Amino acid sequence: MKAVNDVQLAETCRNGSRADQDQAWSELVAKYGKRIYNVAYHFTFRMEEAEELSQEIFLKLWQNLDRYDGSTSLLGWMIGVSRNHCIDHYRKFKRERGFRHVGDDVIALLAGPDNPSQELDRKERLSLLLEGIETLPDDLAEVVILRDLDDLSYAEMVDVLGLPEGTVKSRLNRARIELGTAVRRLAGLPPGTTPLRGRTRSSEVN
Amino acid sequence: MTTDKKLAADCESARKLLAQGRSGGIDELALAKLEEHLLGCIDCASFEAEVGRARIELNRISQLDVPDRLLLRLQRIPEESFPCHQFGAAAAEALSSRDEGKAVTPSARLARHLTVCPACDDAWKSLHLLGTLPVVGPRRDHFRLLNLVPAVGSRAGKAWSGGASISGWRRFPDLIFRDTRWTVAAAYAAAMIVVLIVGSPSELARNEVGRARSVASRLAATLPSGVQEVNRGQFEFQAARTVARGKALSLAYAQAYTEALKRRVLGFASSVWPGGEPAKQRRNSSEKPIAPGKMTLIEAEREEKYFG
Repeated sequence: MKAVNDVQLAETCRNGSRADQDQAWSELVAKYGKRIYNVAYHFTFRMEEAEELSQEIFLKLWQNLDRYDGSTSLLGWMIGVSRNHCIDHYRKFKRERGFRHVGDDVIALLAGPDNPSQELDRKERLSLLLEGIETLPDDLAEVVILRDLDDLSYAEMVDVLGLPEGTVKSRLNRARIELGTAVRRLAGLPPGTTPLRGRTRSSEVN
Repeated sequence: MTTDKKLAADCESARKLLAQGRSGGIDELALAKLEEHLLGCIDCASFEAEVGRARIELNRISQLDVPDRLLLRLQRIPEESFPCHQFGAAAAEALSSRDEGKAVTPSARLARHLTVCPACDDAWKSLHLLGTLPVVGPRRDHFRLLNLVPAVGSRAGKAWSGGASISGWRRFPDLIFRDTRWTVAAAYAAAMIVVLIVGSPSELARNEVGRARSVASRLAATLPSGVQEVNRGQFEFQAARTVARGKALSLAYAQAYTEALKRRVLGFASSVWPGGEPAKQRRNSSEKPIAPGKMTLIEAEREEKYFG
């Protein structure tokens, strides 16, 4: 199949012949499947859940492709749909199951040379981080996930979140500060500083 | 201000500055104050280090490759599913087998879709059930939905259904309508069928607004001559409105309305009519009769739920 841009790809998926649709869809999955799967994974940190979420997301994408009007990038639109789906799942997850435990599969994802003596330390630190993220209000948690885990650019985050770039940046910085505070607290370190005022933690509300 | 309180205030200021970002967004004077504070405050310095470490740690988590089994499942989605707006034509095609005296079974693609789409599954069950309704009530002073359907199944219907055969609808069971209430119910049912058979109601919305009126007029034109003008007008109005609104919410609307209609039709038929004297019992019913131009309970519910 000749190289086509994303808008053409979406159009073929929508209105192409059966064979063309299947081919275009396969191309789209091959091109963006990894990004979407990782978005799902970073909201869950569980492979099975991420797989289920990914399938639900792609089904939703397939069924709603006619809503993509080409005004934004296809990837941005896809991540936007994924984010909406994942954030619903994330909220439900927090409400129903509380903190997640970091599995060995997540530890294996940490880049760098293997060093068994450091593995326990890394696992603990990562557990604290993930727990810390879950103590954040949802709007702060999602910017950390999208930026620091999914590696979205500010421009992509603007598209996905529908917020001005300045708001995205300040929210991200605030999220990182809150995350630092949460990690220190969870690690039993003295807080040292007074928490930022004007925000209510979701964990305290619940 | 005590020393402790002053320190806390300074730390808080420092954190606010950190939140704005050291690399940009704060002026040089504020940045200098921040640096000075960080030099003198171990807590804030370690705090900033903690934030940086967290970011680095998160960045170290690499991107996962999609497992092969998932990739395969994702690539099969078009085979195993199709957009909901194709449901109408696929369902009509499947139901048309009743016309040939065969059992009604959805196609493989539709069947697979029904397993993953609860809305279409409900709509399918409702349509299937509607198509198996028995003849109810006496046959005088009424008209039949059967008489309305051929209008939909004519040239226009075939063209709009995307080539799907809808001849099965010509044998739609004899539903008997006794009064205005049933007139409206018939209008809704017929309009709903139109919405489903036509295919994509959202397409209707965008491109074919005039068709809704046209369909409604065709339906109204098939009413028996004995029907009063007020009922005729009510019918046309309701049909046009239903078709026109079905465009926006498509199957969700049709499915919800089908459910409501099914409850009403089946509930009424099973609990009241078999025992005789339907008119008397209906007077005792808590359901109010429909005044022309006013909303029914069903309409009000739908309006509130979907259009409110």
